Amino acid sequence: MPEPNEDIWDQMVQAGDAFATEEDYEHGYARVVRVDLQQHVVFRVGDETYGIPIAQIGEISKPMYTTPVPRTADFVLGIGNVRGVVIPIVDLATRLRLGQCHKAREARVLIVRHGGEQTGLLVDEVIGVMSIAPENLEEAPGALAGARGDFIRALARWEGRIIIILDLGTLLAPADFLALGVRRASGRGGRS
Amino acid sequence: MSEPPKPSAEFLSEAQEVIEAFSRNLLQLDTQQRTGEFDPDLLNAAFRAIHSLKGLAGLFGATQISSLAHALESTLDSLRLGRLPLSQPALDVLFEAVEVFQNMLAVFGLEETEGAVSADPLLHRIAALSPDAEEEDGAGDIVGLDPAILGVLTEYEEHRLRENVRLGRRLYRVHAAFDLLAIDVGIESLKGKLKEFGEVITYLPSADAGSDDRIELDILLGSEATLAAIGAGVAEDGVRVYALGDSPSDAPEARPGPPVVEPSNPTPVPSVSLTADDGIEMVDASTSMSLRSISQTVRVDLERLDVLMNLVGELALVQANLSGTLESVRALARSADVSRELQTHLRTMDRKLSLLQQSILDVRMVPLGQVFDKLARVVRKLGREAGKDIRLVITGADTELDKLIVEELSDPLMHMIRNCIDHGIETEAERTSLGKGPSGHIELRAFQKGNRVVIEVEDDGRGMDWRLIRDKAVERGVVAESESREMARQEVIDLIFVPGFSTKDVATEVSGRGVGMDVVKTNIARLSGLIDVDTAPGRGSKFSITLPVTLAIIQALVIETARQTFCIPLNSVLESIMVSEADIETVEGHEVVSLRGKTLPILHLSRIFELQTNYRYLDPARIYVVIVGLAQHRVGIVVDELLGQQDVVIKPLGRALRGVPGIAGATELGGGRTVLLLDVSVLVEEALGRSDGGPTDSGPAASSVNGSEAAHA
Repeated sequence: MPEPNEDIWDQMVQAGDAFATEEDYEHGYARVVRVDLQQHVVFRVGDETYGIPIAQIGEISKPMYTTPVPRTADFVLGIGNVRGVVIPIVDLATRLRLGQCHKAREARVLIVRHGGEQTGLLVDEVIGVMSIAPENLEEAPGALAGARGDFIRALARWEGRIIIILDLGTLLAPADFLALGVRRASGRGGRS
Repeated sequence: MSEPPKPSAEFLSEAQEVIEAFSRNLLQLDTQQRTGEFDPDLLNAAFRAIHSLKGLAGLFGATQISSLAHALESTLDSLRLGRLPLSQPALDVLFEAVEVFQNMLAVFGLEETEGAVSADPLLHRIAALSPDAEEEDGAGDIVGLDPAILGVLTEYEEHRLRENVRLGRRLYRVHAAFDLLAIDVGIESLKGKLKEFGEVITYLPSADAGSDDRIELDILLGSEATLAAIGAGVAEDGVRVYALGDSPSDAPEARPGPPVVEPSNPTPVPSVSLTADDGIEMVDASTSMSLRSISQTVRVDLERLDVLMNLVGELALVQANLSGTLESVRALARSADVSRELQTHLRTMDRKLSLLQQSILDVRMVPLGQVFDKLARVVRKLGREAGKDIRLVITGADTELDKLIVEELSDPLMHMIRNCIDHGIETEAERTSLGKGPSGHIELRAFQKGNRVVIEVEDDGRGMDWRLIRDKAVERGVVAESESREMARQEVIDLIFVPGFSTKDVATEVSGRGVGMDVVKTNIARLSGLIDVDTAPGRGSKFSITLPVTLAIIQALVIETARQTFCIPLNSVLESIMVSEADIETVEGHEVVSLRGKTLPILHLSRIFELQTNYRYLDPARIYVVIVGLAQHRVGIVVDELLGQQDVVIKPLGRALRGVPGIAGATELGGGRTVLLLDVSVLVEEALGRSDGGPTDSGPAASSVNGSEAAHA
């Protein structure tokens, strides 16, 4: 069920930087509006900075109570209840092999939408929303190897920092959510 | 979420309904055709259905469907006019049309698949059916019938009239008068009574209309009954019955119907449409000829119902929270009046809420007949393909189940029916030599049993010899030979549900290969159902599927173990018992308890779910064990606390966590707590299938598979 403020949120997201703000006019000129900028939500996990395109994020909430689910991988914190919908909550630090998220005051859950389903990602801190020009994006860097490399869709440069843009497809691959022993076993029936 | 229905969605659901009605007519006709005589009204209904479909398809631009319907309409017209005999080949073509229509509907609206379903072969077959030549017509005048009456009859009516005479029935004229305001009710009731005696051939408006607010009618009836019997049967105000034909004195009574709209034209008109030939018949059957919806039902997207259901579930939570608030209000001093009032309101709300919940559940319920109709078509088609004459007996088609379950059931049932026809029922020659009747019987039964629905598929075929199953299982490596010798009969028979097991060596088009009863079992288990089989060599097999009535809201037993809360679906809970640690014995590494002389394995959620490394009973003298399962498959689940029963709304876990074995979903309890719902059938299976001693690191699910893999080697 769409809620009114969600609609506004969506519209803002779609419009992106095509809006000139009041601030722009205050200085006596209209800002040159670029429409090819991509907005990302930037957040911190451990000591690293990550980004996810804003269109893939439904909302950002404070950490909620999660119910642990047995027989799942270590990065699955459990299930949470977001307004009546049960969604899995993932500890992104564990998923990215960076230890564990510290559930400090700054910690947030990013509710991401992927493949028609929602998943919550627990991160250490949300830094903000940034616009990245395509020329500052380095798609699918080949130099990074290993399992973590699979989760990286692109690297972005922003104010002198390197931001890792995550690939939700590999990050949230359903097969990885089950615990190792269970994963092998449940391959038998072939769920149609 | 759900989009507003597009016009094509409307078309699809309505066309689907029409085709289903058509198919039901065919099935009835098929049964009647075998016995020799069939109800012409069924053919009429089939004709009308196709006619509606044609109009409907034309309206929505489904040209393929409409042109096929057009071709069929002519065929059906020939059939009902007797120009074409109703034979099995003709019925074959009609049944095939049902399939083709459905295929066309399936691709309707997908632009790129235009022409993916070709009607050409079917159209050729339809064309081949059409009558060769004009048959000899006018086989003598019908004795004693006024030519003026004959003159106003449509071709169809005349055909029925001759047919009645040919069958040696007598003709009667029933004169009735109806109040203008109640004419449709009156005609329907009179028609119903007359149908018991024979066939209503036509209605003719009577000339001598007495007053303005009354309409008089002559009804032509063909019947084997005597005049007196009919007269007694329709003893109503203003109804008189006259015999026609044999007595000349009666003949003049048959007044011609003067207000003739249609010019008298008894020569065959190709494609007679059923447009009323007089104003009064319009009141009757022809009303269904309009493009108005045939049914009184509203089709609703299941998703919308799910939304409603979730809302109700959340309301129930609010209600639970309010009850909590009530408790706190009570604790306050000087609030007795307020809290009493609050309690009354809460109680009312509680009642209304459960009513609301129940009504939404009812909306989701559909009769199993929807699936059974499809299966009846399959039986007919496959039976003819296999060259076996098979009678299908259906009982309990009105048993209702959640729509979702009914949908999911059709594939497993189809597979079981196929098995019956392919493996179960013997060939006609074989049956005769065994002293069985030449035609095989399949019975499809559905009935409610408590809060569950049982569906049985039973055939009277060759059955299964458990010794053969055992040998085959050993040969296939499903079980080790040493193991097989110790297995009980029922255990052996249950082997047919093991993946990769099939008793028939020849793969046929009907049953195919590779998929078997294991898939059926998996599908049924997904609906939290259970399947059992009972068989006797030479006498047939019976499969019973036991299903919960609904999936969306269930009653659950709330339990706690290792400080985590879980729900167990109450419909799989047999009972809860209390034992002491001393009652728990060990058999080959399995912990068991004895209950009324039976030994049943127990399992610890804390161990199989690895909730706590060093689990200890809270109180070794009071250990709660929840007995779950059905029939012979029973397992005890050890829990720390029984927290009570509650109605819960099941919420799916999403794609990522759906595969967790032993967890069926999640649900909300009061206070915003989300708890997991156990998948009992998987847990029972794990507990019974575990062949190595004790829990291992890889978890019980893995070990149960390893167990059967080891047996394969």
